[in-house]
Amino acid sequence: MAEEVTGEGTKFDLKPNDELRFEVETKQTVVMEMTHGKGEVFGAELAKNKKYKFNSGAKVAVYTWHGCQIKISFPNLVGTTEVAYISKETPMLMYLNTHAALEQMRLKADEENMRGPRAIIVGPTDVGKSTLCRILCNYAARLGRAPIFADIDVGQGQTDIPGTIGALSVERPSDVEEDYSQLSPLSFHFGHKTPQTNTALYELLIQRLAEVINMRSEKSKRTNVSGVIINTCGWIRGAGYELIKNTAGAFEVDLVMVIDQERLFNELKRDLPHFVHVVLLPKSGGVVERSQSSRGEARDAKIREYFYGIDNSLYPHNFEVKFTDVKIFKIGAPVLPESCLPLGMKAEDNKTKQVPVMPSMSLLHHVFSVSAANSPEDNVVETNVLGYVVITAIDMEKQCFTVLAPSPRPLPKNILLMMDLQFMDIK
Amino acid sequence: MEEGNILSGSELLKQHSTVDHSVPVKGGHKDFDKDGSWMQTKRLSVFYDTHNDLLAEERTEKYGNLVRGKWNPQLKLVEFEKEMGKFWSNMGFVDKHRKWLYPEEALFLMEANLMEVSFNELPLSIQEAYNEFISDSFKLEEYQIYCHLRRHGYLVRRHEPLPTDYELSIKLTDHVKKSKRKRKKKVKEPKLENGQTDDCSQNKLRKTETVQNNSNNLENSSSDMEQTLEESCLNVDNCDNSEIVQTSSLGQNVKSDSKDCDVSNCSSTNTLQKSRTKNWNFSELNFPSIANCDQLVLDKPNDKFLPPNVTPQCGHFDVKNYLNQTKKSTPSSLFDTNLEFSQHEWLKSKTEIHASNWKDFKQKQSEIVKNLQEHSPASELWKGEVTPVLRPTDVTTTANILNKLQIIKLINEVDDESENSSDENLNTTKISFDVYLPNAQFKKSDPGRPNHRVCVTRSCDEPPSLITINQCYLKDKVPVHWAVIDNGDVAFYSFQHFSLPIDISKG
Repeated sequence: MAEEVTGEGTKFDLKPNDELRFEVETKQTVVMEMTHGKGEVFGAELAKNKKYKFNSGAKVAVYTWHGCQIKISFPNLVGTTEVAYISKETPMLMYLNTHAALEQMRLKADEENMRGPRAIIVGPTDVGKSTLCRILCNYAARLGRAPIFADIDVGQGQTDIPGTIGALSVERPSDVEEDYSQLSPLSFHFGHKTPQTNTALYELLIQRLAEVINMRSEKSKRTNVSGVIINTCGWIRGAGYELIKNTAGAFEVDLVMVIDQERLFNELKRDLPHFVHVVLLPKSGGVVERSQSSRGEARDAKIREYFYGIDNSLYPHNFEVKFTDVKIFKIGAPVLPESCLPLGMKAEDNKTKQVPVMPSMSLLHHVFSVSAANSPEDNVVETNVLGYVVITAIDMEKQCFTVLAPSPRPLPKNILLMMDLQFMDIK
Repeated sequence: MEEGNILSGSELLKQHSTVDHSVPVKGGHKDFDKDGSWMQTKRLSVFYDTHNDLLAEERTEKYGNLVRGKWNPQLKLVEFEKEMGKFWSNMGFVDKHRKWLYPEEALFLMEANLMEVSFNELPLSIQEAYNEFISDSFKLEEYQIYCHLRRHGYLVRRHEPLPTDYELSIKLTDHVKKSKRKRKKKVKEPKLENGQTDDCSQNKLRKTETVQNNSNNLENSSSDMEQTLEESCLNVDNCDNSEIVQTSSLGQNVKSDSKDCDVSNCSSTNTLQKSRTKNWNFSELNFPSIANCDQLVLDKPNDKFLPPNVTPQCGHFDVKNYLNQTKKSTPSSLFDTNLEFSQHEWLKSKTEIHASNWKDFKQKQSEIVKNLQEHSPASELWKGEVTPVLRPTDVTTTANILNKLQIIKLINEVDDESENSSDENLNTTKISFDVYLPNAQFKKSDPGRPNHRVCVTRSCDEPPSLITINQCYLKDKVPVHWAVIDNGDVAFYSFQHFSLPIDISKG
């Protein structure tokens, strides 16, 4: 291990099993290049002498099984490298062993023509759940598998923008710079930042997602054998714990990986059926705890990325939509006391109802999902979404909105679902 | 009091001497509850007599000292020409050239023997004035509260809606009030406005209103036209609806059947059995886990399981060291807020299910839950007519229990406000008066911020809901009081925010 500052940047020599970690501070970019050896970022291999660019907020860890040399430079600013360091203590070997065991299961499933392993990863916030998911998916993809990555973390989802749950089929390792953003995921509209806001809807969507994944698995042997890796949100107490159990049931998981929380491990071991294997894994020392505000920023960045792409490489469209052209709904009516409801109806039913929303100024800057449903009579709640738009201006007199959309007019479908999330199109 | 009834000097003197300024005892509920005794009947008859005498007492005032007004039943206002005395400094308002008094103000002045109001060219008696002035839009209770506060010396004005932030920011409030009214009209719903601003507006007159309505109608009809035009355009647009903002690799539209699903890389669909699962033997699989061990030895996995370019060595993981490290960084949770109930353990122990796979498990679980509902150890509690609210099976989370007990109802203030703004809620309970402390510098044209606001309710009315209370507290944090009238007795109540200590977490 050695550091060497040259005019072009800093060089790091990594020995086998070392990990280079760095964080890109706000309004900076970091260019990274591997000059020697072999290295990987969260399970995705680096190409030699290719320049990778990371934008502000990115947290990167380069791991090497062989040893390699990495060069880091800051094109915007001259040399502040204190954020980059090399660590020798990583749980990578443990994660690799986990992968090896999963792969063993896949081989067996392939031989006997059965369903591959389904694993759910649980733990508190900021322990590296998403990272572990990414590593496991990437290793599997590098072996030619196509596991389904289901992300039910509505707050910091990786598959799509926040406020949705979704899944994608990982057929090749994630892009080092762009994660999975180049794949198009299957997404369902949830609309809130945390599952607490509407647990009834959350459970319904998980159930639906599991159904769709089963459907897909039945169609494709490769997918079926490769299994499913499920990422969860960090809500592990009270009703959140019940949710984890229900999710495990909905996906019929074979394996539960608990990261860094012995109590949760013991509880799950006690409460889940005995044929479900529960393991406890350590968290990586490189995990950074995020503050509430940085989570908000990350959400905002994710929505920006959806419209503008990483590094502003995309050019979204702005166009006007007449009030009469679209039908706007939000999911979940306010809770009524049971005495006010028709006979036989439960208060919970309301939480998964679609409620029409009248066009008004309060819709400004909200994010809307464009539902794939053809008419409001279809089961809009359980229908996947095609994409998202943001209402950037409302003209009550002309009765029209201006929307920011990734595609030119017209909107592909006319049913919009409102999210709590807001996005201001300024930067 | 009647016009033309002129008293002679001796009569006037007689009148003057009989005036007794003491107010008779009011008496409470108990005094009127007849107990049949002779004493009480006597006392009551004396009581009623004094009251009757007092009400029947003729009041004399110099004709020239009376302010003369004319009752306008359409506007429900009293118009008058010449003001006298001090009342004008804090009562009434001017519209262009005419001077107006609200009915409560006129009635109060009449009762104080300062005013004469005529209707159809004839002067009204106080009784007639009560009949005429008090209506649905201005209730007797409101007048009672008005009198009560006035008699205590407060300055009472009809409630003025707050200027909006925007109006404040451009200092429109300093400007003529007329323009402010017009601006508001456009923003508000016409229906709501009729109910509300009728009471409180100063210079809005019927004429302007009808003009406004007419123009509204015009606007409506023109927007209707536009809509139909738009619709016809829309139909054309729909024909070449080019698809897709974002396609999904798992099937474009999941709603439609599995037909739509992407089948490109399916190799042997037919041989594949529906979700056939295996019971894995995890002891063979060697999943690493740091639970219940101090040192974990990690073997080098077989190469065939590893992706290319991954060449690990054997290693070991020091679990003890790791646990020590993480314990320092993450403080152990101080309070474990999972409520444990007495039957909690019993519930937990019962849910041991022996199943070999998920399908089996789910089936057995639902059976057990069903069983629990039927045969719980406390099942005799459900045999009678009166049954407990909670079942043992409901004891899953604190939130669930509270939900069943309905103790704590969640009120989402922001949501509910937007939901109910068009409701009648706003109209039924409204702030009636702005109350100012007695102040010589008080100016009608610029009253400033009131010291209190008053809502009027009767004792037999329902207590206000949390939403209405929230709606009545306006942004400027002036205290709102609820005046409750019980048989003529006035009591003021106010609500205050406070947070209850939270002993249980809603998990």
